[in-house]
Amino acid sequence: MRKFFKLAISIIGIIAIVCIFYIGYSNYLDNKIEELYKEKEDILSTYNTPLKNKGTAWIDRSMMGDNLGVFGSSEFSSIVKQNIKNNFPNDKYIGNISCMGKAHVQNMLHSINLGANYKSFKGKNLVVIESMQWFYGMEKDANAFIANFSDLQFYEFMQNDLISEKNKDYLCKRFLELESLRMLEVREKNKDVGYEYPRVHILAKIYSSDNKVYRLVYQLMRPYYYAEYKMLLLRDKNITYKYFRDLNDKYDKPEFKTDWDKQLEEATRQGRSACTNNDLLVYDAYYNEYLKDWWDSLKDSKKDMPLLESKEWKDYEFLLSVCKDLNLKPLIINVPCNPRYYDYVGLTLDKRKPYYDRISDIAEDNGFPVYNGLIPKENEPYLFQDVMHLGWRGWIYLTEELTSYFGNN
Amino acid sequence: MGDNEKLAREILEKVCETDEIFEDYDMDLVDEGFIDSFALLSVILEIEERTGKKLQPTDIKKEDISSINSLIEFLGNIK
Amino acid sequence: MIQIEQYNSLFNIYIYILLVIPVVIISLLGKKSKILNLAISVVMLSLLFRLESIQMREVCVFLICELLLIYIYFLIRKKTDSKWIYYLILLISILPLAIVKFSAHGKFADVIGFVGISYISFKIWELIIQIYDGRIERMKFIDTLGFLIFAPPFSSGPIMRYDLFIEESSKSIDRKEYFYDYLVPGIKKIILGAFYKFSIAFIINEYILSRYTELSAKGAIAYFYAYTLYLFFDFAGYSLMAVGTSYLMGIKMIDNFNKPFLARNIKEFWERWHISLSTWFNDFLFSRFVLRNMRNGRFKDTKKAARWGYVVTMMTMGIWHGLYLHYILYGLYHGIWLVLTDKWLKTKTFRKVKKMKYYNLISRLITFHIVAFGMLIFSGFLISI
Repeated sequence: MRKFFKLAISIIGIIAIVCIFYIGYSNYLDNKIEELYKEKEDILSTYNTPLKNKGTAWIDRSMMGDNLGVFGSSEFSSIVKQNIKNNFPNDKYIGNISCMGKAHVQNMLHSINLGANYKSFKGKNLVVIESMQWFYGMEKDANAFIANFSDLQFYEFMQNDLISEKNKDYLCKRFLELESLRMLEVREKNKDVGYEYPRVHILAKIYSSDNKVYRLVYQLMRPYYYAEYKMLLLRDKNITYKYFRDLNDKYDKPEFKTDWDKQLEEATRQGRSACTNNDLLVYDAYYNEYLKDWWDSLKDSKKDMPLLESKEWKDYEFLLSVCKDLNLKPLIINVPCNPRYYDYVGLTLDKRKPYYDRISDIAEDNGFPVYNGLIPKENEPYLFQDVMHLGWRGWIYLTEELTSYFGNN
Repeated sequence: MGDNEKLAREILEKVCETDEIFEDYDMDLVDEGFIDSFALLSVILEIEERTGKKLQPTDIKKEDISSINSLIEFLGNIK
Repeated sequence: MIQIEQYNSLFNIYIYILLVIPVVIISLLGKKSKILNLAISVVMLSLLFRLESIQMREVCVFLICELLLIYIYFLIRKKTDSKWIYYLILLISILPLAIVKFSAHGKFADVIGFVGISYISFKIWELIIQIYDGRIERMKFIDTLGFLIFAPPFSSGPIMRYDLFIEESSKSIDRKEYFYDYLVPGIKKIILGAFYKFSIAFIINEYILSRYTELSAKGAIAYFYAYTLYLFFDFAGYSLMAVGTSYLMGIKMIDNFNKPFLARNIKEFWERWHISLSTWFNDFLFSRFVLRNMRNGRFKDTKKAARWGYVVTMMTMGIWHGLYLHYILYGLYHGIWLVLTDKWLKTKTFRKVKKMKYYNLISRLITFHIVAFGMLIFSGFLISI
């Protein structure tokens, strides 16, 4: 009997040591990360990396205080000085800005982020930028989803008790759907490739199944997934700490002046000098690389785009539903597109307008504030920098809206 | 002296090349370095030569010849 | 870096724990079930090879073919003990492994072969050899299958013996014996194995081996010592987990390592390192080589027979690892050292030195360095220079 007690005690001892080590190291990393972020906030607030988008530690730090959280996609890579990441803090809004997302990060991935890092977003000022390009076609780009997917955030989302079972179920099913689309493509080249995220796959399968046996298996596997989540969390903190520590780039963000007229003037000037070789009012390099040689073939190419039938609509409603579960109320930004291009490729205003209206209606029906102010301006020169992304004037308008909307709160 | 004992002594004297081992019938021959895995094979050959019984290496273990007494017992047990 | 995958991920270990719980429960009730153990092995193996993968299919085909071969020979052997048929059957059974080793250099390297094929082959050869020896009277299918696919040691050993497996799996154990002789030691082994592999081996790899990728004096020295230690902790850790899991399933296995760095010479080393491998080779290759060549008179001198035996056995072991130059040289290296050691142990100088004061310490240090250099060859590090 004594042998048994010895063994039991040593097992408990080992578990205790592991926990203490974990908590101690985790706290140490938290402190270091906070320190480093404060020191390098300006430059870090303008950086947008997979480490940030797929993690927790960086996002958590970037949302401290009155900082503004903005969920978007490829517009953040905008090359103009007026890019929103440079415009906060300003003289009317003391918080800094945290941009989350990059090209191809759409409603599903943003929802996962919101659910995962809920503690960082609670009670903060949040913005979600919806883009029409997300709603192209019937199905979305499964490869990009998987490429930008974060297993850590997925586990965090699934651990979040505030989120309804229905929503978790939707997430699991959607993940499996997109994963199998991607696998179809991948396996065309190599039949024997395995899943990128086999354990997420298993969790998604057993959670979303109607089979009673699977639900039992889910309960049995919960301790494991909890442990994996904790390990990924520590790893994220570790990598983030090292990244912050080794970052030697320096940047002092110049303070943005909210003199809107002056800003718009400067924006127009800069836009004008950048768009010289085309009538679409896109910047020269963009025209040369993406439009010049293909111009003829592009005519009416998107004429039959089933914008209103995309699966992304369900994902959009999912995002809003998750926000409701979490009691978050982000401001939805309804972004138009460059009509000079879209009219030409066949998505004329009579096709675009239903999209804009629907974005707005769904937001309002669900009780979310939506900013439609950019829609009537879609024809304005230099609102966009290219065919779809906000540019010189567009960013100023958006900055103005966010400053006034949140500055008074 | 029984047949098996005589046989055991003959075999071990040939294999270990010394009569030091007869001082103690329970001396651990492996520990003392008189027997190694190769000596085991020699024992097999000796048994075959002297009794005509053909053994395979898997039929005999080091424990069976770890001392003179164990060998005597083993010889008694061979079918 | 050779990394043993079977117990590598927390996920696999967790699933193994869940799978083993039913066995632990019924064992604590004093019962034992071969079918349950078999079922658990099947599930564990489907974790090792994804169900839809080519590897899984290869495993199934391989198993079916080899089982057929074994049973056919078992029936043939009842009628005749012809040597030529025996050799033929043995050759056929070696064929799959040979194909795998040969194709390692070719286009299909990734597709042909599965983890554990080298180890399951040992079990198959043992069965065929024992059938020839006439040592196997009955072959119940559930025993044979259970033996071959027993999961805990599947990917990298230790190599179980048929008679030990049958004895253990058929033996009924009462709850007290299970608790004190199987459960408690098994858990201890698993914990120790996990510590070896996930702490020590991991740290050595992270902080020493990954740092020295280019050739430098400091790097070579660090690599020299670290690599051997890494191999030991990784492999011994894995072996302990495999043996421990086996204990929990009510089957005692023999440990694979016994403080190998305490070996005072290379002969002793091979009795302490990868023990299941060296005993297998000893019983089925070395001994039979020596016996046959002594019986047919090719060698008159027993010493000469043994020394040739060492070289042949070690080179076979080298080739068994793979058809690569550094593996063959590794085998040759150890073969030569065994011969030299054999000569040394029979000298008068040895008997004198053996009694000296620091004999143990010095001989252990020297042996460690010989072993470490051999591992350096084994790693292919030297060839890549």
